[in-house]
Amino acid sequence: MKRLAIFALVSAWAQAASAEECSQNRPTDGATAYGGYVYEGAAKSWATPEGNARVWWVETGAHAAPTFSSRTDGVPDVVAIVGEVLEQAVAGYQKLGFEPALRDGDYPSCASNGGDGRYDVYLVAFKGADGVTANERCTTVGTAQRCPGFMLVDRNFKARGYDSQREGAETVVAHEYFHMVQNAYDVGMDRWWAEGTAQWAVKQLYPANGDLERFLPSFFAESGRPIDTPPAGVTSGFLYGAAIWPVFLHQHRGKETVTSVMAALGAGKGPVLAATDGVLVGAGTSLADEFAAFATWNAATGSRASSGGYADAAKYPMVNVEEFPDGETAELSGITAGFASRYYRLADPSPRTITLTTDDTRLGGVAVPLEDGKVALSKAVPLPASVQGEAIVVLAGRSSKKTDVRWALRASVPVVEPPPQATGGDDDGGCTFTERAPHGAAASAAFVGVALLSALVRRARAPRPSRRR
Amino acid sequence: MRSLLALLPLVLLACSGDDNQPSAAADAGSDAEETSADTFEAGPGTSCTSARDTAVAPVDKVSTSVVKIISDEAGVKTLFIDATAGGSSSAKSNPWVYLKLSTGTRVDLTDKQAFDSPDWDLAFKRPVIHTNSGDAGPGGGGARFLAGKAFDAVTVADVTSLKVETWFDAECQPFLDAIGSIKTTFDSWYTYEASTSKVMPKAGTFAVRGATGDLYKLEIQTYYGTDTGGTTGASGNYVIKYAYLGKLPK
Repeated sequence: MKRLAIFALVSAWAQAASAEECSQNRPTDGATAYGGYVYEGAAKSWATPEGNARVWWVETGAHAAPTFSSRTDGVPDVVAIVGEVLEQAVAGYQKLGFEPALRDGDYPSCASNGGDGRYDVYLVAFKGADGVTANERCTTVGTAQRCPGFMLVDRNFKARGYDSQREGAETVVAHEYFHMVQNAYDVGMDRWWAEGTAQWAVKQLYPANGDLERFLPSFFAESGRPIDTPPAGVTSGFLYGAAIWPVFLHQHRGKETVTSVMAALGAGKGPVLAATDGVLVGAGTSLADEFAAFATWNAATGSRASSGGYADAAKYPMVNVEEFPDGETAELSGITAGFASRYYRLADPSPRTITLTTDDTRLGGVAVPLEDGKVALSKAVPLPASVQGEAIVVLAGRSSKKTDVRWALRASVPVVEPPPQATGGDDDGGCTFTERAPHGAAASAAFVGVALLSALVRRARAPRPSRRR
Repeated sequence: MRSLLALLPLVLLACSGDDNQPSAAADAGSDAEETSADTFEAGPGTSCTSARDTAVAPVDKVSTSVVKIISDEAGVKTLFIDATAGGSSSAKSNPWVYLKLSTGTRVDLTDKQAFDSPDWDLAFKRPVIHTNSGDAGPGGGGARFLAGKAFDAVTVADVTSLKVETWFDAECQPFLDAIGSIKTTFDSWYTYEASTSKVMPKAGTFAVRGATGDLYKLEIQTYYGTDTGGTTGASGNYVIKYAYLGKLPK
């Protein structure tokens, strides 16, 4: 496991004490050091030539780092790798459009700032984690709390299950530095967004790094959980698996969406979902519509992946899909809340009309055909809809409200009404659902909105399966 | 971080002249509104069904975990409760352990059944404990931590107020602690030691009201217990001791 985040907990402590000078003592500060991580013996440090990072370590005691060095200057390899990765993160995140982390060089009376304004990394022997970011000397800017700080990371990643010191450093140091970047905006942002975007950020720097994918199953297994309500516990994989949301925002709306949300949080427009909605509305869409698209993309992963959706959809885990009952008229009902999603598979190949009865300001539905087991994202249509053939119905929240919202999903044999009288000779006005079926080949499902006007009105708010990557 | 403790509605107990017959009173926030003892009734449960299911993640199984009376002397029971739920990584697929204080035994209910049952007093899962009250169930339970108060020194006179399980605000937004757990009446029973990654009970005693109004005092002795009362077990193994303080009127 990575970063078994005591992060949130210690972050809370950090905030509580942040008004004090030197509020978070470091491993070099003796018995009062943060988290009890106290160096024994003389600490050494190495400053990177680029000028942004200083890595601290000891060679004796419980926190002694591996001293093996393949370098001519004798600096331990793990120290140099940590420094190099931090420099890559500093440059890389700025290139993505993020603010740099705040520096700690202006602590007027605090000897505990590592001696300069470089970002300080302390190598320690973690027990249950492998990286943590501490905040100190926060300042209030509007409603945001902005904090410099420092990070502790494990002294020996290879011993923590990583394939190499470099893989460990790329996974942990780049992740923790992104927390420091976040803290330059607002230290109080939702933890699922903080951890999720940190995972996403690492992936931007190191596309071959597999840590993002490692945690996705925890998120996909709980699609019915509102995205802003992670399970209890700072070690929850859901927090890290929530990286799929910024991945979606990036691939569907552009990576500047993620930076814009971060900027909105720094401007006090949180919480995250409100800030995201503001950014998306400004871009001509909305959180409700994008979440529906997100939920639909999440149906099209793993063996269900086809064209469209995530660039790496086939590598991602799959959401749980429940079976919708067969029968001429079948119904499911339930209670939900928030930006959560549910999935139902209709296996009955006969034509049916699918309707969703609910508060449509809180919940929406999409039907998407399954063609040879693959989700045909380009054929997704909002409910109500007629389907013929195997399909998945996606229910997706449209509001962050957490009060109960009841829903009923009904599949029934469609009533084919006689064509209305032509007015003005427009033959198209009297199409039945089968005639309007956009993909009427026998081998594929036929989908069309039942009530044309309704479909047109709702289509404007429908998810937009996109090929943008 | 949310810091919403102040928003948690309280239930105050206004002690009558008889120490063994404290009366119940309801309050919302700091403006205590006392009511007569006659109004003490089981609650209706939650109005935030979806939010509660999200928070608790109810498991449709009955716990088979060990609940064992280690000792029962002079009215003080010492219990071992295996609330490991299969360990932290398996906890979400294992149910809560429900405890009846009057007998010191496990109550065999699924999590969903417990939401509607008055037959249990306390629920345990990993470091989270809650009473049968408010959003947790239909019981008339509650609890309050008497910080620094030694178990032996606690009498019913010390129980001037209790909290019920108020997990959500009016919009069903959860009240969460620093690690994202629902804030229960047993919130912050421990301190977390980062250097050892262990949770340690805070000094003090809980006043606990059972589902049917029985009042108890309760001390959490360890989160790393053994069924013989030791302290070298895995995390999630409680040893608690408790004693009956009095009966609240129905």
